[in-house]
Amino acid sequence: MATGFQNFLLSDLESQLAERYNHRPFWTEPAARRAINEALRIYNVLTGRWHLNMPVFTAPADPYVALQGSTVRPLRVLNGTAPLIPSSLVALDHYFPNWEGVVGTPTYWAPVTLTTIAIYPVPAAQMTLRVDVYAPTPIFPDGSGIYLNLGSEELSTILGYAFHVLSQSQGVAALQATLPHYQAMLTAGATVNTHLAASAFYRKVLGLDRSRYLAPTAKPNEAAPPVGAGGPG
Amino acid sequence: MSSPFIAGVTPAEGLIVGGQAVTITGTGFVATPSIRFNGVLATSRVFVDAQTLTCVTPLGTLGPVVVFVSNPDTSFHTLAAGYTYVMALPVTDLDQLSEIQLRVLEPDDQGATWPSNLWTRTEILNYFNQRINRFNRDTRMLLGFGLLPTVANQTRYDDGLPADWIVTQRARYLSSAGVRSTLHKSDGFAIDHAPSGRAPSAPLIFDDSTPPLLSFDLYPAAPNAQGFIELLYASLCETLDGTGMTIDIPNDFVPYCTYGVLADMFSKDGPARNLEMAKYFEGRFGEGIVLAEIMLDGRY
Repeated sequence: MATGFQNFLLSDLESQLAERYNHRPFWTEPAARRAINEALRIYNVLTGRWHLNMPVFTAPADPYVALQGSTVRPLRVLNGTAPLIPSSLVALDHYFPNWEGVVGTPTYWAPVTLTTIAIYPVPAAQMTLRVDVYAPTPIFPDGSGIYLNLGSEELSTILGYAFHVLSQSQGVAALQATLPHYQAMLTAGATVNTHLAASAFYRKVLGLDRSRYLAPTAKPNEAAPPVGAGGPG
Repeated sequence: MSSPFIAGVTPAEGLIVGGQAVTITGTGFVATPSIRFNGVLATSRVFVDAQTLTCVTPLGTLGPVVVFVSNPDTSFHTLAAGYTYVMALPVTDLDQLSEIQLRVLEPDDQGATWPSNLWTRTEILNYFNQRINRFNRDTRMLLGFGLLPTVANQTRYDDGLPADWIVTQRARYLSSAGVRSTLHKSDGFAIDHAPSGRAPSAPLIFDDSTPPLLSFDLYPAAPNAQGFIELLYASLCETLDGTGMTIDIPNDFVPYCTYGVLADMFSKDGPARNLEMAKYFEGRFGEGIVLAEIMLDGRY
């Protein structure tokens, strides 16, 4: 069955970048690789494109659990097949004032940072939990043999953004001319990440609140003639 | 038909999300092999010759895994810890210096000696150290845990905060009876104007914003010397010196810090100054901070 997803090597993406935007590229191969890697990273933090379910190991009587590696964000925590209830440090402090000292089977979890979670109650012995996370982006190192599975609609966003990154070395005019590619990346993020679409910062960059700025803020001048009532000419 | 034997896998490690093209060397391989990493079937399996197979790794689990090859006649061989999955490749200060070099030098300048005559390498490293710490202050991605023993009847703790402290995320009082209570952050004014003569008891408010630096105020004073203040605070990142040190900020947020560095570089007085570019780069740095806040759902 045909599918919109294909496996791509770095060299595939580099040649597509050149074909799409510049047959005689103004960039070098290392610059293209870095631009593609940045595009993949930004795409991942905006959309959570790469997910993982990974085990984490608690330390005895320690309510804080560090996630391994460079995870982007914890999403869900499971004890076996039972999901822990998401909470926050503020809520745990407020509702269970001595929660860090309560021993038992974990029922709640709270993000402490993007790479650390807290669990309550605290297991007395080491135990294994499973965590769904946004995984770090699988970037292309030098001489990479990594295949990335990407959809065609993702490809245009990623390559467009990479072109925008490469254009930054060409000065302000090139930067501004390629801004739509940057906005397309943010739009792709807002499409799958409703938190982004609700953020004032992103709405402003994407121009989503422009209609609000266009709305009249003052009462119309009543002395002005109605539309079509005639005037000069 | 001979049984397969795995001598090795090249490369021997790859990313946990899979997708790494690998070559398996050994003996006794035949066409249409089954190749598994930790029990998961690899994709794009290709029989090259009796000594060589190629495939693409599947999604993995962190750490070393068993590699398994079987022939159609069900004979098989396993290689314990034959392949290692890693979460991500570290991002180093050298990576980012190269990144910046490629951004700011025109193509014709690729052969130019780094640093350029507009910025020195030391300058850029300084910008980097300042930006990653600022990014951490605003996003609180890297936190430290500190324990400050209380002193009976004492409200001011000079040099009470850890040396790598940037900003306090949360402070709790742990009494000698093992009971915790959360302290509310206040300012110097509130503490200065709190009713005097209040008997020592479990502290209610703290202030870490008054000079001298790293001093810590409590109100009211703790009643005995057995308690502790538990601090959760944004901590300083490891200082980068351009020798290949890993950057403490999670990999996927590093580009935003790099944009902050570029903003500083293009704001510098002199021929390097380009405020239009600097404005764009500064905006991108701010975008990263907002994104991190969104990801934490504002739950600080």
